[in-house]
Amino acid sequence: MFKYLVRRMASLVPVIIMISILLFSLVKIMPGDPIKGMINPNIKDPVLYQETYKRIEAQFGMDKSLPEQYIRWVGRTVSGDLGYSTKYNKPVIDVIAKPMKNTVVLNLISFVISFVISIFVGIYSAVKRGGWFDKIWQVISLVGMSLPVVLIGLMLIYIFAGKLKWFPSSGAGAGQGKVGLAYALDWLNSMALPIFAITIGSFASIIRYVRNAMIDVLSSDYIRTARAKGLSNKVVIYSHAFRNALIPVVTIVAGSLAGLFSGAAITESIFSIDGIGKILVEAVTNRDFMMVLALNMFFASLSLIANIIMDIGYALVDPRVKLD
Amino acid sequence: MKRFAVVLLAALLVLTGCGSKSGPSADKVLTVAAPASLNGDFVNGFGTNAYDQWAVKLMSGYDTFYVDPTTAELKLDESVVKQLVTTDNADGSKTYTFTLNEGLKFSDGEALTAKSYVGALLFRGQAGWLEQAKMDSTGYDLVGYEAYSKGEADKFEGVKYIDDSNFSVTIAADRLPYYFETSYATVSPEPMHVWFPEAKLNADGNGFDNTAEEIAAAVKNVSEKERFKPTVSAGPYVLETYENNQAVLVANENYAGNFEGKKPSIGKVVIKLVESDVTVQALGNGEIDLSPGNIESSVIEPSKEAGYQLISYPRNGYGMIQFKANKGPTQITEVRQAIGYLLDRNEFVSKVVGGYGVVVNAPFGLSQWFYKENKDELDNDLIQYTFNLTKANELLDTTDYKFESDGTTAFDPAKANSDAATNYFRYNSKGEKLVIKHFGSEKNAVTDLVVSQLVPNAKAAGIEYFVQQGEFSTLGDYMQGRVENDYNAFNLATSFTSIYDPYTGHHSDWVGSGLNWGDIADPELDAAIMNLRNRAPEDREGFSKAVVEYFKVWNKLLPSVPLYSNQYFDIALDRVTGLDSITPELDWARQIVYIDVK
Repeated sequence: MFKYLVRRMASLVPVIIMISILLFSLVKIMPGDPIKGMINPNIKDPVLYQETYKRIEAQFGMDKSLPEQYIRWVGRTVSGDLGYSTKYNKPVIDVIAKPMKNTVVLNLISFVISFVISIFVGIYSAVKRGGWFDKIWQVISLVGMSLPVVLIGLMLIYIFAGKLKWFPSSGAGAGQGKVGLAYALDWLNSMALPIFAITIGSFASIIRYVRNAMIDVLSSDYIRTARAKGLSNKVVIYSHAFRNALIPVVTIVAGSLAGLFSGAAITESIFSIDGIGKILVEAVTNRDFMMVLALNMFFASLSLIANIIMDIGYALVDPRVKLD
Repeated sequence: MKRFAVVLLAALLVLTGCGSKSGPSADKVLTVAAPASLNGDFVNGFGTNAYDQWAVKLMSGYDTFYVDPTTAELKLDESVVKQLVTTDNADGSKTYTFTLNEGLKFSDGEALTAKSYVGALLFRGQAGWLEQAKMDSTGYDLVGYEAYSKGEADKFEGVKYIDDSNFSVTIAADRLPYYFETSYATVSPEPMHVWFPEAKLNADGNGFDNTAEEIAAAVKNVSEKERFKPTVSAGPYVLETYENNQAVLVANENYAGNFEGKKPSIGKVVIKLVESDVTVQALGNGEIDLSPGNIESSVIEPSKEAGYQLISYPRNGYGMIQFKANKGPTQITEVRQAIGYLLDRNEFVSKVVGGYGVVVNAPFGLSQWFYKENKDELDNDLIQYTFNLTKANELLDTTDYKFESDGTTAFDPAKANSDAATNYFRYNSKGEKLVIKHFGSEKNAVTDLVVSQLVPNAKAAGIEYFVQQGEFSTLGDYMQGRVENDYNAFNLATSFTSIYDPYTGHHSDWVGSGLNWGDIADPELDAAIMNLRNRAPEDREGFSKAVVEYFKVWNKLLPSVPLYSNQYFDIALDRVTGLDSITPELDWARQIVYIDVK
């Protein structure tokens, strides 16, 4: 397994290099000149303007050739320096640290919850196919898939914040000024509704995949054989059927991991959360190039990592797949 | 008996006054809703937005002059200044020499001295600072600003440190007379011991004796650190934290009070982002105590029904569609005027602010004294831009955008207005299409109306009107030129301070600075502005007449289409008291010392 992981990681290097070249090139051909936005517009003297332009250009290494700029950017990125945000006037890493934490934790919690709910509900729905439990969850998942996250979010706010007053309507200030357990509890309280919103949007589709995969597997010959051998229902379902049903599910779940992050901007906006989705949108509209590069590299890396997780998942659930 | 009652009443008032000076209570927290994100930028001169400004105001104090809540005039703050001497100099300049009261302190206990004022002027005026803080104009009207701010002089002639209790500022002769003259001599202190601890004033007290490297390091410190997390304040509050779209400010124990000696009673003020869609729920849930500055009936009406406290006051400002007068077709006055005729502004008023506003025809607010005094003349003489497609087409036909796509065939309004016309627009003789690119903020009723009303109306007149929606902060970056872009129209609202001076906002001197939002440069407008501002402080009548003339020129040039001036509604839970102290010029953040929570 370790060897496989090392080999897979190594195989990612050329892919990441290709992606980074592509991203760097795309950012460079984006319209707008970041240096002009950094010059004081009060400078009307053309000579002084040019001097200032040249100075800023040199300061950020933008006077170098594109290959040289690329190599310098890669070198800095590898060493943890993600560049300088022209919008925020401070290092990118300082801008994205806290929002990144919010987005990652929010999405991971939602991911785990939706995965667990999907597995249990999907299996039980398949086993009790056509029953009331199955029907109810079929409706819930259909509604969850059909409704945009904006509407889900507003409905949750209306019911749980407005009417029941169980949770705050926004994630602004989550955990702020608190430490330890108090921080965690306050954070969770403020993030409860966004977590629900993302979870609903996420598990709705996965439930259907798990259910359908389980139905396929449960109608297989080897399951009939297992039942005929007199194995208990629990053993048949959880030991024989479930593992096989997981094979297609792994693809969907791993793929949805990256999707969760890229869709974060909408949820963050509804619930006033300081997250990277919003920062990415701002970065693009503000031509904040280093920020755009850093965040897009994050999303690209996340997709690649999700791929590895998917392969490992396959190996774990399908004995025919060997990690070598 | 009557005398006894008076004495008793006076004693009670004194006791009440004493009680209010007992200091802030840590248990009292006021949570205020900001309808859009703060930028998290708390030092003026960079990119603070309206909600950052709330925090900035809470942290500001000890200016040499204050705004009188009843008259909106600038008055000397005698709690800060022990003595003021003004001198009319032979060259026409005027010097204000201040003697400070002793004992004033910053929030960290450091003494507030003349260095805090002089240092602020010298620091904010120098070239290295202005490269970062592009929107800073502190000291602009003082003698020697131009040379000092360009780095051509290392001395700022109009500023002088005398000793720790005394300093002076000299207003340049060419800036006088000026109706709001005292605003030039309004100086705010900065914590120079934090901003620039190594600062060494020169022997004349009008420049730094530090090396360029030391000054650059100080600028870097403020623009990269203090700007986002100011550690020390001179005002009633100091920033504790800003994260997760929420700013928390705690009372400054060393604050000596405002001009009346009034100190805050609330221990902590929280400003948090709450989308306007959920304001009513957030109030009902007790998540926020106060939602200031509401104009949308969709928030006001449910709040009334819920029985919340509504404090209403006329806005000292207006909502508008701002054009860029130096970019694209909106450079042409007739194009701007035509767009004015393509709007049903009454619909904007009714749909955006319900019954709580009126259409205005120039840059004024309903609360301003000169508007009230000249209402009839302004109503009669200003052009009333009301929806009129024919008039819009007539105006556009006077421009070069009067052709079809071949650049020669005359544009036919009937074709543009027909149902079959999907791609029929005006072109100029060079074959360039008449395209307006508009940027509006998201979740904004005005932007929605621009999309639903102006876009089709413009098309009927042959204008292709694009609307892009995005963050309000992005709109600011685009409109003020901090980020390169090709938009030439924006929708937003603005409010005026007690100093009504359109100079930086509309004079050609400020084109490209980010302060003249429309980047309009017109000699007639410049002259009207200078005629308005170059009035002696006592010439109230002259100012009143000049402002009407300015409005007439402005209304003809139409740098922006004014949409409405309206009533503001601050909505609060009953536990919040003292909100009646808020005026159109002094919002809740300025009046925080009068606000309390039960």
